[in-house]
Amino acid sequence: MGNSCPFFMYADGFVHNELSGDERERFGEHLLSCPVCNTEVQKLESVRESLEAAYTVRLDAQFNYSVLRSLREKKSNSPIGEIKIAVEDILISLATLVAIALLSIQFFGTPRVSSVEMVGRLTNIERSSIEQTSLSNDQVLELVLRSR
Amino acid sequence: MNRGGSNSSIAARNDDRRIREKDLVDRALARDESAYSEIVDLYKAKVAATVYSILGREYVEEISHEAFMRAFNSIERYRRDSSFYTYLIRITVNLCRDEIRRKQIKRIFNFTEVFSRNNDGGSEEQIRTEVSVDPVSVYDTGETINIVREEMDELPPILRTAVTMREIDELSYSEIAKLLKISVGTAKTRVFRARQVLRDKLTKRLNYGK
Ligand SMILES: [Zn+2]
Repeated sequence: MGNSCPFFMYADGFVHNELSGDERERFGEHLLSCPVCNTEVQKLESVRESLEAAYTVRLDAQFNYSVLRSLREKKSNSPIGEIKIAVEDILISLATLVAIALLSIQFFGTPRVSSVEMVGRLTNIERSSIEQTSLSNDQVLELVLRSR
Repeated sequence: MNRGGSNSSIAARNDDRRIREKDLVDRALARDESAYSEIVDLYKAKVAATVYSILGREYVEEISHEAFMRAFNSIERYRRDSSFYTYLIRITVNLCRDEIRRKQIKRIFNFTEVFSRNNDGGSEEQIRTEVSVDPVSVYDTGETINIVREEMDELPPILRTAVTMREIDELSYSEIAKLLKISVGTAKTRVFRARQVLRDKLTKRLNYGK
């Protein structure tokens, strides 16, 4: 195979239609006067045509049907589909739990009476038990007598 | 010589394909089932020819079916940085390579298998041979086609795959390089070598070319 022509390398791109419009036009003109490139283009086209001819296969409509049927079966048994459904269920459950938690905090979580108010409502005995103040014997006696 | 006529028709065919492809992929993503069937119609000949060329006629239905299934099942993950056609061919070629590895097909060393594959019977009825319009071409004969297949079978799988992607799948060298994870230079070298071997063998057997 001779590749003495400087344009020889364009033959492959020409046959596979990869040259720009300008390159294509110039190389087309060049082919008229260059037997080296002309032969190369002819050989490349022949190889391509012979391969296309040798490996042409007719797959009929049954093939399409077979692919579509498998696709439907795959979709109906898809583990991805099941995972999607499971994830959706988990998300819905989580959202419900979060909503319940927020409502619970809103209604039950906040104390209605502050600790200061609560202490204010206690009797002296109750308050003293909370405050854990140490009382003298006389004070204790007085509290007992008063509560009677 | 067919100076540009067939190349123009390739270009027109490819342009039509790209335009149709975009619409079909959009519809497939929108779960339009008829789009899947149309995509199969559009590309099944190329996928089948690729499998036939790289692996053999007996693998065509099974591997082509698997290639479409994989492409469709992952269509939502398909990023449009390449055409869907290239994506499909990549899947097909990978399946062929897996099959070669898995079954350890060593056709290159096994002449008995080569001849049994080429006499696989029944296939001729399913093969539509595109007759060249060039009156001086010798590629339109059944004998030539058989010789081409025999010589392709004898090529190492890496050369056979590369030349298939170039001549049958009509991919550019950069696409071949990307799909095979090799450099553009290596892709070119493989295609050139495959062509060279085919030409030399065919020249000897058919006494054509110079
Ligand atoms: Zn030249």
